[in-house]
Amino acid sequence: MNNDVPQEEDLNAPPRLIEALVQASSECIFVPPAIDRAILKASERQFSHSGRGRARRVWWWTRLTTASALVVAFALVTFQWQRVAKGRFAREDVNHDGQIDILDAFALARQVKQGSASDKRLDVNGDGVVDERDVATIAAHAVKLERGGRS
Amino acid sequence: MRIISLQVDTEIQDRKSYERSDLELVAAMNGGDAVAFEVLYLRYRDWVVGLASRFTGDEDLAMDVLQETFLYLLKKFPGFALTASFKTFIYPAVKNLAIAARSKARRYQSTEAEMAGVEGTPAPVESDSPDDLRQILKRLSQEHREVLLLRFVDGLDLAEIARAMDIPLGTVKSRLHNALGTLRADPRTKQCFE
Repeated sequence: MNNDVPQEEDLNAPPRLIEALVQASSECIFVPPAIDRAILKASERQFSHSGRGRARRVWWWTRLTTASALVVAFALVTFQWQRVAKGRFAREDVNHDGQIDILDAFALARQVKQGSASDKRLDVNGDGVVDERDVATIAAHAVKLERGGRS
Repeated sequence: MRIISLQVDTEIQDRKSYERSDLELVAAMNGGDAVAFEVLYLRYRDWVVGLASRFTGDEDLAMDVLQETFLYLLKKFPGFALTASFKTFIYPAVKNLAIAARSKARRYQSTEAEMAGVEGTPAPVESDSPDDLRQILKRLSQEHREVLLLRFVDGLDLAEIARAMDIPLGTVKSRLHNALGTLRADPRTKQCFE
């Protein structure tokens, strides 16, 4: 059995033969417009269906993403508010600038003088009253911190 | 002026649609573009129906195969990836649908014959064409004829034919060589080789 694979040059056909083959094979078959319409109508249904599905998916995904972002933002804002409300700042940090210094003593002194020191957290010496003694305690604390820790 | 401008824009868009490659059309169809499908359909409709007619030998069956072929294609969207030439991809579908249609038609004809009390219905006689080349082509085996026509009438290269017919490249070459040899040896077509 001859298993040789024919060479490429043996597989070419002369132009006359190709022309004859094309003529012999080219039957002009008329496709009725009704068939064209039926096929194209099916395509419109298919693509509108898949397009609607796609649009629906995009719509839901957009809404979900937006809702998630809102929830996260709300959670962050709430957390931060609670953090502030719960006084994550040190009690002695009266002006909430993140530092305990003489400015906090001045701020408390101003509140005590004005009679507006009602926050029980400002009772730093624990005697049940927010007064000048708490101002002195904060001032002493601030000085201690400036000196570098315990005296 | 505005209406004319819109009309011109539409015509330009239509021309651009028809200039798009098969890959671009398929990509558009994956995006839900029905116009792209129409362009692809019109581009290959006549080839598909001609191929179907070659397999079925019947124009009515070829029309059925045409519809089934493009409905089969539609079901692949969205998400279809064209990884070969369109003809290579669609050829097996046309062939299988044509064979199925022809088998079904033959069974139907047999059933009708039985119901009519006729012992055997003669097979439909294919009209003999006066064209010598057509006669010679009919005498080739189906496999040889297929390869020959796919190569020189439908323009597929050897690798595409192998892929479309799901046969080794060597088999394609061998069948094509044999088909050309038959034509070369026949005195009615010998002059084509001179």
